[in-house]
Amino acid sequence: MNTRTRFSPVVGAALAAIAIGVAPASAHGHFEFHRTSNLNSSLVWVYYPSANPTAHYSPTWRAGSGDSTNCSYVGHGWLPLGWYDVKGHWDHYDSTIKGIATYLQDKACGDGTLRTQLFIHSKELANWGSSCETYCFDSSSDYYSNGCIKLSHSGYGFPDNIQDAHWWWHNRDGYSFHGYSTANDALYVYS
Amino acid sequence: MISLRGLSRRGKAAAWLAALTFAALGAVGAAQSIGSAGTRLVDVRALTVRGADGPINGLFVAAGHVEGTRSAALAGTASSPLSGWIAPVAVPTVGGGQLVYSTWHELRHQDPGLSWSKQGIHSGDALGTPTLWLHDFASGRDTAIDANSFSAAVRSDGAIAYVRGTDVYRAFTTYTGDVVVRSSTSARPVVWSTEPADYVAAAWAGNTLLAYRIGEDERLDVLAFDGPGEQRTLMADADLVAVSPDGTQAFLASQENVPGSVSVVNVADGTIAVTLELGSLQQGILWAAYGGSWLGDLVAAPTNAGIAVFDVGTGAISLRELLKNDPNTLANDIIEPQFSGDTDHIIARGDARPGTDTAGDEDTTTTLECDLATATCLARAADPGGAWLHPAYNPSRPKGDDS
Repeated sequence: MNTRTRFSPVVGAALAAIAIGVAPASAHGHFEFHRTSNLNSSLVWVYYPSANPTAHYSPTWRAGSGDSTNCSYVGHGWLPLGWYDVKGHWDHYDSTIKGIATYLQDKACGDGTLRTQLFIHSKELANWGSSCETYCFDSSSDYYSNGCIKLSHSGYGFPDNIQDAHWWWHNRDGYSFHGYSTANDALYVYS
Repeated sequence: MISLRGLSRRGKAAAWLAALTFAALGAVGAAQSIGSAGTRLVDVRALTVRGADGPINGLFVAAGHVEGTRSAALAGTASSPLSGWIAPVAVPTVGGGQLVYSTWHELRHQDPGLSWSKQGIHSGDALGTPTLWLHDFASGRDTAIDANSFSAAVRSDGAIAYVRGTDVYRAFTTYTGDVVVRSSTSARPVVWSTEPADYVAAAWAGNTLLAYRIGEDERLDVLAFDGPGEQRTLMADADLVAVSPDGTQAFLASQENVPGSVSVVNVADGTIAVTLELGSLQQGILWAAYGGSWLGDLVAAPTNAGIAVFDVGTGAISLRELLKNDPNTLANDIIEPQFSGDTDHIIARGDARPGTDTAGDEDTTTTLECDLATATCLARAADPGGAWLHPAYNPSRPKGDDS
């Protein structure tokens, strides 16, 4: 198990909350997305293996979001800051997005523009294979998205981070469901 | 003059800082001519922005008002949270006597920093609804065209297309609607779409309506509607930059790959007349986006690198000029560049990222009037993003007037 400690704004807030007698937000773990650039932000799974408030972390995965840092740029900007509920999770999603997919709630940017149809996903086929006409992760530019959080898929020189994140989601204080279901406060996006 | 209406003390300070920064940028313009993948030399310039001494050209909406070449109070803030500026938030009718715009009514206040569950919002809870309005400049009156409706495309003969929702916007539910068309604002709406979807009406190209369908990952598909039930995909995963002056062609930007490409597409049959791969320009242009304009043989397009002016007059697409954003300034995005009177001038909105001490994702926005020959923009107002400052423009073609 690869656990480690590092600074987390959420954990910092949680510890502060504990100091005044408030429990962490959820018994489940959550993803934290550190929004630093469209191509090279990071995603990590944070969880609490016992009642003990010390956070444990997955490895940190490189992740992308959007192709602009203007949140309100629908179809281009990275996703908004804040906490997200998850509205569904699939192993073999098979629509425009394919493969492992985690569907996020909508969220407004600072001016009120709603960002919708956001997922955590990769560029893979529904069966976790690749087809390089449209669905293979073979370039750093594949970290770009229209707003979703993008993780790499293996096969063309990139690690299978979507699969790794998927494992942590299911196996370290995460969630077992597949299909439409709600996971409260399952993602925190910060800058 | 800088508009500081509705700003907090901190917001006012930020606005004045923006103005001072624009003024200070007067000395940073630089020009160079670079050979591109095409045969022409590309005029690449760093943008210079300075504060305007007086009013600037163009029609804008912000914080419930019309400003610029006309002045008026609206029924509410022209805004379109469901579509941003994929399509204009306010559209002048032919002749400019009226303005069609949408407002947004929040049915439940949300804190964007918190998840829905943390706010006690459950699946299916009603969160908001748009309304489509018509403002008459002569009388000053605002009339609701339709409830739960937004994103208008206004044709030269007065026909209006828009999206009418099948329900209000609800938590954990994709907002869907029908594309409807009225032959006039008072006529009965006729459904043109084949099934409800997450549409946005964009522009008329002659008698064909161009609209978007928003899909997963906010992928935009450009659709063409030739009449009731006559719906086709013009280009998947693409942005509509602009419609040709005669309404027969559309300048589309494919987002399928990064770098993407731009194409001139014949609206009648969807054939691609010509395509330019943006990567071949070697100018750092990764994508072009919606909200551009087409006048004569030139297309002004917002891109990640700045305003690109493409020449489409030679049977090919070539980059004529790139007015580069300066990432060190407070106008690090220029959106909705609209030719203003001729191809030497545009009006647009400048966006500046929040400072590091600013919570949230709210940009500071400014009205811009830019001279492409000198690569100089005049900035007038500075508003918080929540004011929804946007150019009011009609992207439908042909225009049907002399404006």
